[in-house]
Amino acid sequence: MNLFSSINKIFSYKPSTDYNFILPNSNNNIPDEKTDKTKLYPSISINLEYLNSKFNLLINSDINIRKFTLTIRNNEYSSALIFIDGMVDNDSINTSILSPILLKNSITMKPQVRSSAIAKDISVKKVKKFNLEEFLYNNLIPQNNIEKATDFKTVVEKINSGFCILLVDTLNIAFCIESKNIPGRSVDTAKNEAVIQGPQEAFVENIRTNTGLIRKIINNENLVIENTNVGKITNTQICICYLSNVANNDLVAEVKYRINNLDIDSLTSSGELQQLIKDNPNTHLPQLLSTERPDKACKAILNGKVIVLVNGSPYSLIMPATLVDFLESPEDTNLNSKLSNFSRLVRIIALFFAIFLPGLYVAITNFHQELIPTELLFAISSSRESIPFPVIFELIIMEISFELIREAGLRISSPFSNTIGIIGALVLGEAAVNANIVSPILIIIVAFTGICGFAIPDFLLSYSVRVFRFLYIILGYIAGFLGIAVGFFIHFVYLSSIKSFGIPFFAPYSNLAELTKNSSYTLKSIWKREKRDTILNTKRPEKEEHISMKWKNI
Amino acid sequence: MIMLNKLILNLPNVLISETGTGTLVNLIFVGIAALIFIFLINKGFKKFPSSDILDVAEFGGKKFLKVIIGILYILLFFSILFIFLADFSNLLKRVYYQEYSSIFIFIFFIFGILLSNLIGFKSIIRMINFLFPLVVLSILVAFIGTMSDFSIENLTPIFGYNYKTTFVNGLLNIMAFSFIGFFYFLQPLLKNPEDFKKVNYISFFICFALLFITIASVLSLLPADSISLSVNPLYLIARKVNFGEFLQRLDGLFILFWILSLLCYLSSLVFFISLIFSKIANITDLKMITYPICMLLFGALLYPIDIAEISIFESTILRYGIIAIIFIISPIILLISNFKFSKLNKKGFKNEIIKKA
Repeated sequence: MNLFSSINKIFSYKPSTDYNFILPNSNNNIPDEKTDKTKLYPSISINLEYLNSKFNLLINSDINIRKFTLTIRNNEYSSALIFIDGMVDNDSINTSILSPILLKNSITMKPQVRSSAIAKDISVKKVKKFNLEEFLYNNLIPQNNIEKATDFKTVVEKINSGFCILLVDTLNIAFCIESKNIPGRSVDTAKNEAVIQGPQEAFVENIRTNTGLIRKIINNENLVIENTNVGKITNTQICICYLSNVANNDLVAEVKYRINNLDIDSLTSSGELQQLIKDNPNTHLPQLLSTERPDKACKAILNGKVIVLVNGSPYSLIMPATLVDFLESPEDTNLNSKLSNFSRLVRIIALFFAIFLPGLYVAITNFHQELIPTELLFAISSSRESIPFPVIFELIIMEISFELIREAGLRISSPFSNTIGIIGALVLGEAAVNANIVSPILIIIVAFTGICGFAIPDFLLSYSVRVFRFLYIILGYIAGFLGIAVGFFIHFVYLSSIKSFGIPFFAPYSNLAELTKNSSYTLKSIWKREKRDTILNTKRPEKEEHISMKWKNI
Repeated sequence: MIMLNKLILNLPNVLISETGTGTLVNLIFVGIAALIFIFLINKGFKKFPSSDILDVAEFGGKKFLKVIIGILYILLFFSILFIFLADFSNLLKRVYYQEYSSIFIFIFFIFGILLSNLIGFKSIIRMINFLFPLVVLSILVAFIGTMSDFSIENLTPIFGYNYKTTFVNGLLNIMAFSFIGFFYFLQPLLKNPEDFKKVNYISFFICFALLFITIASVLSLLPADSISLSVNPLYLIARKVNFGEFLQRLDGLFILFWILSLLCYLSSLVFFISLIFSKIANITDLKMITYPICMLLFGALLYPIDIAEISIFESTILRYGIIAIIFIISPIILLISNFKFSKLNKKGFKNEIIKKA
């Protein structure tokens, strides 16, 4: 029996007990939301039914509908407030919407007199015909921002963006009352673009706070902040900011054209937008400048550039941007020009070493040893005596380790990031040298290259430099200076071909004629910065008078 | 830039081998002759704004002359391309890459030329803008760095072997200004064709100054008789540069700049070949011509050729070719076309008078 049952166990069919979920093909018959232009009905029950189905109210937990009866002139109207819990200010709804509607309306019920006349002691008053919509709008809702919507599409959009909707029976319009209180952090100090002298505020995720920060710096009616929305699902709000009397009209039009012609479902950050609107989407290099500093953004606006803010992202995009912009720090204009120029020179050197130093090291040690002075050559060769690996292997191990330490430092929480730095830099480096895996001189090369990479102000430029460093290491290993020169030639020629909103990436150095004008990498003294960048072709080329410090001449 | 590359390569040797210590005087003499040619070119193109030599040739001698002159220039530029690449690759092989095959070096260069041309000529121009000061600086550093070793005696006798060699035979040294050949194609490529005259003169004076400095330093450093065709003179100067104890062998760094400079020059040559070919064959996409040119160049470079053959080719066939095409045939075409232009204008004027009558 036992034997039979065991044989049966082996050969009999057993349904699989493993949980195996397979994602089936979804039904693609989604109604086209763009074409849905259904108008509101005079009946509140139909309107609510429509919104019920639109918002899946049976399963959706945070959509609130507060129904009540509105008594006006002894007539009772069914009404409802619709809003998303968590996106609105409850106090504001209670005090500024519900209280006036439910309490105040009985007091202000006197009919409006259009004209009156007295004849034979009989007073005749012509009373204005009662208009419920006007009455509600003018008398009962003491809010500063109310919009009237006539179709469901607008109503839905407004609910999604944190408005409170008032529906009243017999009216085929909806009142969209601003009562937003979207949770978010308050304005904080800039963490990734810190400066010593200068403002410390940084953008936050709330777009209106960010536009306010810009308006705080540029108090001018010519500052235009245009609104647009991107993303069929997210409907992300985007603000395009520029000075209408300075920025080139074609530049502004081009920015708007690119943003308004994005056919995407979602947009969640300025980084995504940057990739979607840059001239050469395939290139690794950033072509738009990204900043979290309102003062840097404002300087760009004042210079005739265009700024784009994305709701939900604490970074603004500055366009157009050239290589010179990526090597500038917001600190530069706050310092004396001589000091700033020194810092800029240091950054150029840092950029050069960050890209080429490891590659040059490999090239020199493998092909061009005669470039190294004899004593140094002896020092290098004696330090490499006990290393069993070729230079390229050592270098790539160290570079990858460095990248890993950097990546790990970013991912883990801040209290541990210092520890990672210490472990990586001291323990690993020291241990690798003691274990004869790498030579001490190589540690110096890699560490110096890393420091140079950190000296580049723009994160994205620094990142692309890190990637290209590996390519130059390989080229230096294959063919020494020849490989590096050919690689640099192709790289440079390619970079010369790319543009940011019509401006060459290497401007003003791409054109000698342009260079002789005012645009250059070095900063002039503040009283000599008379003109805006000529490459921007602004409407107002002059930034200051020829003699700006008039007090000196009086 | 074109001139700079010639300096980097064998040009000073070729000139010195012809006129010895009289090369400096000879250079001034042929410089004046070249200046006259530039003046004639400017005059010749005055009636043909925004046109190149091919358009002018078509006007003067119909399509036939255009094709002939186009083929001559293609052959000339291709020969220069081939000679320069073979020459420089040879230098690199001898100095740094003895263990590698020449093909290894050619592949790098051809890859660079091909990709840069596919990206576009404007980007190459931007690269030249960036590189030009660096290369000039490297030459000036080489000049200043070797100043202490200069010997004035090496420059004498200043008129060289004899007057005939310096001023008659030495006239062939006008090939040093072969960059004038590019002026024939420059006008349509300029943003402002009115600047044509200015561009030509400025280019000439810069190139003349650099050539003069290089030859002066080569002659001051080495006796004229010891300069052979096979040794690159600027490289010899660069090897002698030392600033103190630490910076003693800067030639490696100079080589880096010179590779970049040569890549710019060769890429420009490929562009001009493509441009001429596209004009005579009515092809609109210049980039598509780059592939066959690069493949042809690579094929030609595979033919085994040594440095002595290159030097002989450069100092004989190429020299006469340059003089014939750039300094004889092209000015004659300009002259014929101008004559035809004046004749047609006169006829047109006469016809107008007859019509009015």
